Amino acid sequence: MTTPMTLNSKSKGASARWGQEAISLLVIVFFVMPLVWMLLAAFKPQTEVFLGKLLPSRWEWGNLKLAWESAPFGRYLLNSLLISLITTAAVVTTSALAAYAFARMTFPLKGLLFALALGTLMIPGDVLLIPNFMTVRQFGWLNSYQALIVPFAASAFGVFLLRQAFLQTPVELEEAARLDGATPAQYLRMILLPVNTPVLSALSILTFLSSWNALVWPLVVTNRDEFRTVQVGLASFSSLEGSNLPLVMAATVIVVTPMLLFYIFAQKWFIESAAASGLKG
Amino acid sequence: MTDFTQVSTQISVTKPRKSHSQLTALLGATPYLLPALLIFVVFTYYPLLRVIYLSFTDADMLSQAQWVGLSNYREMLANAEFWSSFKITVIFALAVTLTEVILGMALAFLMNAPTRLRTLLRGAVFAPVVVSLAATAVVWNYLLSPNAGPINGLLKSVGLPESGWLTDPKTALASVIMVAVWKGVGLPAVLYLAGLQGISRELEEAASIDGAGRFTVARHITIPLLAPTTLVVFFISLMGTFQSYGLVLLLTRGGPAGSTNLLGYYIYQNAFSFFQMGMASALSVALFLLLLSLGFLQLKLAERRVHYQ
Repeated sequence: MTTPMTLNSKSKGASARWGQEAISLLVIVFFVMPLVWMLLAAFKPQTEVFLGKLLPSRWEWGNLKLAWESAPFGRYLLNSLLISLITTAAVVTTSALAAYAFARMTFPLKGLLFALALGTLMIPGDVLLIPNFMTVRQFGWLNSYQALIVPFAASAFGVFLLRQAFLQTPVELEEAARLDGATPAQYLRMILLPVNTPVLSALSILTFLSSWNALVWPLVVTNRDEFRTVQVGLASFSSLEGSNLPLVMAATVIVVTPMLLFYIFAQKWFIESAAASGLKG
Repeated sequence: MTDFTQVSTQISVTKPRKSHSQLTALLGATPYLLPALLIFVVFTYYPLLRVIYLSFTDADMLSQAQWVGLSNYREMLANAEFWSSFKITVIFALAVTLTEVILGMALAFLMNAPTRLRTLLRGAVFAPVVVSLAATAVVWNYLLSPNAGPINGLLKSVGLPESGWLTDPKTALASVIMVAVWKGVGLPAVLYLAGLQGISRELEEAASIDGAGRFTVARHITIPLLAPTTLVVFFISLMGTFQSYGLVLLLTRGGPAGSTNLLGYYIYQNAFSFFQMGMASALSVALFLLLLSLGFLQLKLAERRVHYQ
């Protein structure tokens, strides 16, 4: 009596498992296929992008070189890298400093100032596009790196995230450091930040990603190649060269590859950091 | 009377010292607070006041702005294009959000199951989040080409009718919604996955020992326990989609026939195509008020609902 039942439930479990594997495969195809199509189209002759065949009849490796030479993509990539790295460093620094004050210092108006910092989470950046554009124009910052970095150099989410982490770090560490003669700044830099590396790395990757992928603001405040980011460069390249699809796809491959490679090698880091962004809500 | 003077002398003695030490404390914290707060003031609070001010003017970037009172708002509320844009934005935001909540949760269940493809699955679902909006737009613009584009080719090969996708007013908004979900659902999925991993196995196991099937456990135990995550995912997605218009800016420019004219894009166009900064500011303030009320709704719900576990 028991044997057939266990057998039955076992085979049911096995078929459910195979069902899950099959659905997983379908889901993977749905999410990855657009990128595969992009990659293959980048190496097709122009006459073949609309033929419906998945693989090119002959591989046009030259498309990549041609795209690279048709617009200053090297410069765009360098701009994006520079802007994203500096923005990330700035956000981590300003957040750590403010978070330390809010977590560990007592001073008047603390509650009000903390509310001022967190209140920015309620004010969406897109609503501020126009006045910020005017401010940056008045500063004479149109077409400059400052315009792409300074407005994003502080983050309420960063302050909040790091404050939580600092509050959870044992106070004894700070007392010991003070007894050893460390100033608050030294304690912050040499102890508090190193012990909170996981949170710092989550904040860094999220900031880097959003800076690297930013579109509307860089589009509005730059119109010269010297300061264009890779996203704006791609958008304008695609509207200029729209008819030459393999070339546009090759440019897209150039633009997405650095970030995707970074992602493939650090997938766990990305995903865990993204999970931390749920604290925003 | 004597008591009073005594007290007052006491205060006058201690008060300066106390406020002095308070001032020292504030000055001591200033170097830590200043960088972040300065940026918040210059690039968030000041522009908020400025956009409100601009919304009462006829600013156009060319001539001196004149105060026009409520006329931008009056014009906005009388404009059919605004209302159509508002409607499109609500449809877009709700459609993307609800799809992301449901699909995100379903994907998280799958990503949490002990399948062989698990790592690859997690990587694939989250990959579009890493791909930029610009690249997403360029790729999907090609995939959804109405004439023999890859997706139409695929549909044709399995005997389904082709579609005009982004070029047809009837399907353009749905196409943008689909692309937005492809690009965005990875984040909710990862948030749900973290939520699932935080639920104790014992509860689910106890229920299944009591004879509950897999779907019963999911429906009566796991999904209710995920309520806090659902609340977060719902509002992150809703607030995000209410203001995001990057896809529309690159894919459809609000068209065809205004069918994808999201509020954010409508603002962008008023500001940077027509230089109607006053009107665009009034629209921005309207969007802000909308998002602010959603924010308060979230806070109220969070207070009331999420007290499981």
